[in-house]
Amino acid sequence: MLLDILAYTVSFANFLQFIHFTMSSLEEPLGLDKLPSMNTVDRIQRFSSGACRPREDNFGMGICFIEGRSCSTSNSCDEDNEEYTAETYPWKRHTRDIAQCRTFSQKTMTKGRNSMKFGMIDDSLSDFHSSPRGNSKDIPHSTHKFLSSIPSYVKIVEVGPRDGLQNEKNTVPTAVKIELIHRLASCGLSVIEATSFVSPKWVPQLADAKDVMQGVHGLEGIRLPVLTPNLRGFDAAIAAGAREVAVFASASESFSKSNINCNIEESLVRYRAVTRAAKELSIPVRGYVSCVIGCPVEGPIPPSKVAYVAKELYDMGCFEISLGDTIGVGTPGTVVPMLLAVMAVVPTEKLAVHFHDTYGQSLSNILVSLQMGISTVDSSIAGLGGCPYAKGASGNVATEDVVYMLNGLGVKTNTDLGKLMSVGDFISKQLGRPSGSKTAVALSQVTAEASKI
Amino acid sequence: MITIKGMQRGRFLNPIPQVVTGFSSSAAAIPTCSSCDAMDTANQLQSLHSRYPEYTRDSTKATEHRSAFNKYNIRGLSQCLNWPKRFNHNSHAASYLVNHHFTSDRNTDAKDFSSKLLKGIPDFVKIVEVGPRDGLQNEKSIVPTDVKVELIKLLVSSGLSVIEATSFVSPKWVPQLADAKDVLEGIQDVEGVSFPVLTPNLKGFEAAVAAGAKEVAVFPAASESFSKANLNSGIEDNLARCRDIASASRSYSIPVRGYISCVVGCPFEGHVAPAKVAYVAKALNEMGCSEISLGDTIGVGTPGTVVPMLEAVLDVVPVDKLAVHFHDTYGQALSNTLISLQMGISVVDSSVSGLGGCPYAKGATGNVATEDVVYMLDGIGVKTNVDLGKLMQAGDFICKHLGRASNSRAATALSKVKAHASKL
Repeated sequence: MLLDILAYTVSFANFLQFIHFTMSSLEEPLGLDKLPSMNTVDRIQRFSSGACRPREDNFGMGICFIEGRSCSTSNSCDEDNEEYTAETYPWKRHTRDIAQCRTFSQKTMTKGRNSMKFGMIDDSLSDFHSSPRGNSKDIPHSTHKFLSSIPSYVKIVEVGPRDGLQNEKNTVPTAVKIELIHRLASCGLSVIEATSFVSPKWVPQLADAKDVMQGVHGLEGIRLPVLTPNLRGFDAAIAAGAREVAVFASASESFSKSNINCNIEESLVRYRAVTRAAKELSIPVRGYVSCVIGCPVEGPIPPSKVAYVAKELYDMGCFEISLGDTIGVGTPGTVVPMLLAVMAVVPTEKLAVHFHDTYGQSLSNILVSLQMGISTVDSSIAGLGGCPYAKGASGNVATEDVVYMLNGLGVKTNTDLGKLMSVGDFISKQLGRPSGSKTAVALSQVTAEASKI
Repeated sequence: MITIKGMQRGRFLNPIPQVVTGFSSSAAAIPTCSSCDAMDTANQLQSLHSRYPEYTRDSTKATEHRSAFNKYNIRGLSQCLNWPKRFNHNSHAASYLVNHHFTSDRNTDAKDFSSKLLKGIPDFVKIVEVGPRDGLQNEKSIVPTDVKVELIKLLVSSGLSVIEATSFVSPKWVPQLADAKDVLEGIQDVEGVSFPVLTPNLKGFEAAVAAGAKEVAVFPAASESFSKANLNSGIEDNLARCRDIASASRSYSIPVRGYISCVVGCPFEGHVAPAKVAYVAKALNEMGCSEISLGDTIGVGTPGTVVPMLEAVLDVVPVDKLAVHFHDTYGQALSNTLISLQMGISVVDSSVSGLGGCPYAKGATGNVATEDVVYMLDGIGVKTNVDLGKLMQAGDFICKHLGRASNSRAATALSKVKAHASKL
């Protein structure tokens, strides 16, 4: 109690000092570090489990009209707008006007679905009606061409527990893995890659595959695919209770040889055996194509090769093909031709993109993929999983960053960003290092800063 | 519908190792793809030579590039790519490999088919480097003048044509840039590059002109509360000050660059209305600013908010006068930059190594890294005149001085890539 008073006094004193500071000269620095940070309560409230309250019904889209945030959509909104508006913007300072909120929601109700997709949902409560261009209908259609083709719903496939933890130097205990998967499930994610049934000789980090599967057995309503490089792995997966498997071909011969010890054709033969066995047991199979843009050994990969492998996987019965830019070298200039080639032979709705952020390019690649109609994105909580080809470089794109962008685009994901961030926090603490997600770092630093005052 | 066969006619399907051979001074035997067409390769080499004359067999240029790269030590990359050792001497080609492969020029087939996605992107994008000012201004420790000057010179050598050199604010507020005059003096002899300096008021403007500045910049905000808190005056008063500077600079024939901060979100107000941004942009345009840079100060923008904002501004300011200045605080900068390019913007502000944190989230990143932007632009086939390898050298230099790792993912990856057999 005493400490609270002290803290409050100190913060107030700081605030007073600040006022004096700024008023004493016209020559304001352009540096912004002297500004007071945000209200602690806002921050903490944001991350509490009750923080994200869905708004009133929004035409069935079920998302919060906030940039950078999303609520679980299954619940209808029944709240307390007042409490809600307190967390409207993660970066926003503390003044809110409830009346404006109601006006906003009324106005939004009349605008229709399209306006939300184009980001009008982000209009500030206070500024909304002052904007003459608030209604997307006023804006000529041609300028929305870059956003109109983006799907209204994007499925996020979380690969952290497998692709992420597989690349960790130290083996993460089974209990932590199980806890991670449970927590991810509570964020609204519908597909979480649980583990991989490869020989522990090659991937010791996932040697506890069976135990992990046992630990997550009770999870309902969540799909938990596991990697199975061959029939033996498949059988082990089925015995352990897996209900969905994944296979992993490469678009590059040399990468295939060095990574799974056989060339592309041989690997496809292996996978045909797996898919045949899976079909008999009615187990869906997800296909991954790696090195879809560039290979560390061969260099650039022709789109036609990628299309070939994708088609083979699709023909053998994979229900979804995930195209992976394994070394993260792609840019829209190479992603577009590759997607065009693959979309010519596999229906777009069966495709997913799996970009690596090694060169910082993943979000722009994801954006252009969305613009081309792809509606499934693979990502990893806290950007887990470095790049095996560039030690110390980042690897998987962070789920928090992807969800932040999708929320801002008005795309439905059914995931809760706040909960995702706490899961990212959990696993980062376990691994003893900062999160690989910039969104998570930014939002958590803001909290930490505020709590010092 | 474009068939795959049709795509094969495109140049981008030829494996780059063949093409890159042309860069080195000796023909190298490299692993070749059996489907390579010799004629296509020759054509490709020809066009590449014409497009990048600096990479012809002119021995002096080649040596220059080699030594630049040997200093940087990008060797690891070529080893990873399993090329013969002699390629180490022309490692720049190695960096081109990973991001130039299909788009040494833009693939016209892709352009036609998905024209709406890549067609609108300009052929040339100017990069405005803000590292020495916006970056170093946010550093805790003060960087010595000679280091600043050296950084600027290294940036100049990478091909950047506009580098924000410093800021003429009172040293009481921004001690990191107290040596503004000396920095300008140090770069006096550099030709062909523009060095805008920030001038928050007339006093700063006079000081800048006295120190030899040939371009200045002003900095209003689109958010009233941010303007009051940061610049101690509302938007209108601020614009009045900018008008004074603009008219003063007109008498000196000095161009003025206008920045608008908080174009998407404000730490106080939350979302900022596009109309407000358009209002400030229009005012800056009318007072004679040569360029208006739209800054997402706290990095919260996504294409969903950037597009409406740009549309509002494009209504009142011609697209060739606009620049975008995104912060990567939430990792959104490159996707925002991409959507801006698609809308026709052709000037991008960035900071070498991502210098300059976010003042609102201590420890979070701030400015987008120039290396990452150049990597993306190179990959799309947009001309920037910036040499990524030399840029990385400049980034490496300043990061070594500051004693910390680069915030640029492309730079980090390129410097650490090495062969490693990964197991599935």
